[in-house]
Amino acid sequence: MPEGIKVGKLRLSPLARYILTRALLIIPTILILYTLVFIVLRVIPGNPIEAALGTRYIPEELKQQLAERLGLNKPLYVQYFEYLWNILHGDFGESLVIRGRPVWEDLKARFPATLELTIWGFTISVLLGLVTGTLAAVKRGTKIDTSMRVFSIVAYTLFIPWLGMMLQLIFGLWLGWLPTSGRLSARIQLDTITGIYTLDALLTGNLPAFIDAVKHLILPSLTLGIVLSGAYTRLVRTNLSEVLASDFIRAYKARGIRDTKVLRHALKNAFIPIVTMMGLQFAILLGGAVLTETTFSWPGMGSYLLEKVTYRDYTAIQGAVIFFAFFVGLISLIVDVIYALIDPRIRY
Amino acid sequence: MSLLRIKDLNIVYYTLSGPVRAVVDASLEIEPGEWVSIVGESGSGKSTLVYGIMRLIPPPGRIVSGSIIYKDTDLAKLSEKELRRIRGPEIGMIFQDPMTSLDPLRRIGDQIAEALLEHGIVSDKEEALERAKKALKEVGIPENRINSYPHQLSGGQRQRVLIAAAVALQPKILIADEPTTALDVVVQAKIMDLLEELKRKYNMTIILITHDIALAAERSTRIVVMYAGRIVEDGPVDEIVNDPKHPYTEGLLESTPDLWGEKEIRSIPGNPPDLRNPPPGCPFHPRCPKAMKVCRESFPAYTRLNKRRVACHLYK
Repeated sequence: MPEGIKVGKLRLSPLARYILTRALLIIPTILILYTLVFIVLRVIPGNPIEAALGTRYIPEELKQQLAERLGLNKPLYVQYFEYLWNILHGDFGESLVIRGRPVWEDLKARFPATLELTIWGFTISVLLGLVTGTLAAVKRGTKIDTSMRVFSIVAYTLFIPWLGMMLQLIFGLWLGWLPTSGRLSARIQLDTITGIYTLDALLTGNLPAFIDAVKHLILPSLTLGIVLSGAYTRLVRTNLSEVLASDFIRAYKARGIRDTKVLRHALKNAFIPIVTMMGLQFAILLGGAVLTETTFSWPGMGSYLLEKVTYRDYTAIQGAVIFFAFFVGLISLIVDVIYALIDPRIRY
Repeated sequence: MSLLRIKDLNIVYYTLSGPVRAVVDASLEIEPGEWVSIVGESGSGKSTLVYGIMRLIPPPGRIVSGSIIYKDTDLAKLSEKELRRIRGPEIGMIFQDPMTSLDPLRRIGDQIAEALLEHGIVSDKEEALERAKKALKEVGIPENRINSYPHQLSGGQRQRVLIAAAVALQPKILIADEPTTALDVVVQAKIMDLLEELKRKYNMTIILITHDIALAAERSTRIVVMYAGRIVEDGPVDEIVNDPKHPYTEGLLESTPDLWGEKEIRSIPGNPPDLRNPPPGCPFHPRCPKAMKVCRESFPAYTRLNKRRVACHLYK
């Protein structure tokens, strides 16, 4: 790994070097994940041909021919390295089920949808968790604290499809305020650039599309955000209470620093473990939006993977997982950098 | 007139296993320029007493009665907002554990400067940082350390930073809660020297909390001995050290090692009482070698002997 740093003979700042090292660590992570997925896919019963045929009968020779065409009759290690080789060249392969459909095209279409939902849901959960957790910690032992804790437990144990359907029922069906499925109304035109609709609408100055996209986002991201905020409430409450009871907070007070400032310093200290959680949560969110996506017919990666697993579409699943792994690696890298920026004690 | 007059102060911690009377009927007057050392074992209430003065008693502790008069104001009655003007520029405080008493995420200069700005001692950030530099230099930390983070300093240096932060506000009273307990002996002496020097320079009054009566004897003008939340003896250093009256004070002095080993060390038998359920009468009687029947029945009133007062039935 150090070779990568030396190659350019560049003088890198410690932070740049740290980022580079962390970035290189993504490669083995992806390799391990790819290997695991490859093995699991071959071990679970069924294969793409059988999955596509279902219960229909087909002569054995024809099956052989199909397997040959899909490259499924090659020895496993050949399949393993061939795909790896292709990925290294940026080729995610073609779907085994829909012949000739490049996996990359699917990823390009589906991933931004998941990312957009994730970002919104994530933001809502963090904001909600921060506010409720801070209130609970500051008003520790009071009724406010108790109600925040009840909120966190209820939120945490809510089942996403149930909450989703309740919101759909109330705001979609009864009140008729918000749409309950999809990303954009059929009548709305939007030129996509990034595939993240709210961003695209802003970039192209398309206000109606922006409003429409936001309306579609509210219910699914609220569902995700509420359920995930519970964990933050608890985490913020615990960490902040601990920091508020620490010696340096008492020292601030002994110097007569006003409460709002003290709270700000305390929050910064309480934030370190929360940032870790945020990184982890974001990764889980990316993959775990499946339930939300199915509840709200959201055309994202969750529903895509679900469909592809049913068809045992090896290349599509492998491609999606590798892409995910890369993205999750990127997120954790960003988290580590944020860490290093907040906490002077971290040496890189 | 006294600078600080504590009268009949009672502080109770309302814990789940019952109320703990940490400070009981404490009265204490402190004159300007004094160096008062409050000594006692852990749990004697000495720290709680000074936290009471700062009104920084951690929950579930509360002042239940009594007054703390500082320059005609009763600190026990002030609101949080009014207290902020007292904490820092009037009464400063340094703490037991310098390792954890500085914000680990902020530069030491910023932490010192923040308080200067908060109290309007200076009006802009740059000036505040200049002052912080001066304050650091005064406590023996090189100015260029102003941008250091706490983790880059040793324990002794951090205590110096905390002293600088407190003294930069030029408080009339500086409370030092076991400031050297967490430090090694050589550093201890240096920190105490520094406190003495700053006391003289700024004409501060010092209240030192310590469990080490030998340390207290070295520099104080006065020693206050606390046991089980009560002040049991209080007087000028030489009187207390050379001729302790209260059996507890005597015990404390006898349990202090002597460098030349001429003295036999004797520890006080037994342990301090459980404050949730203190013994009746004088709380020291179960451990007291001179206990009498009356000691089990009532807490003695203070007896004046010379410049000291002592709460013991032996002196009537």
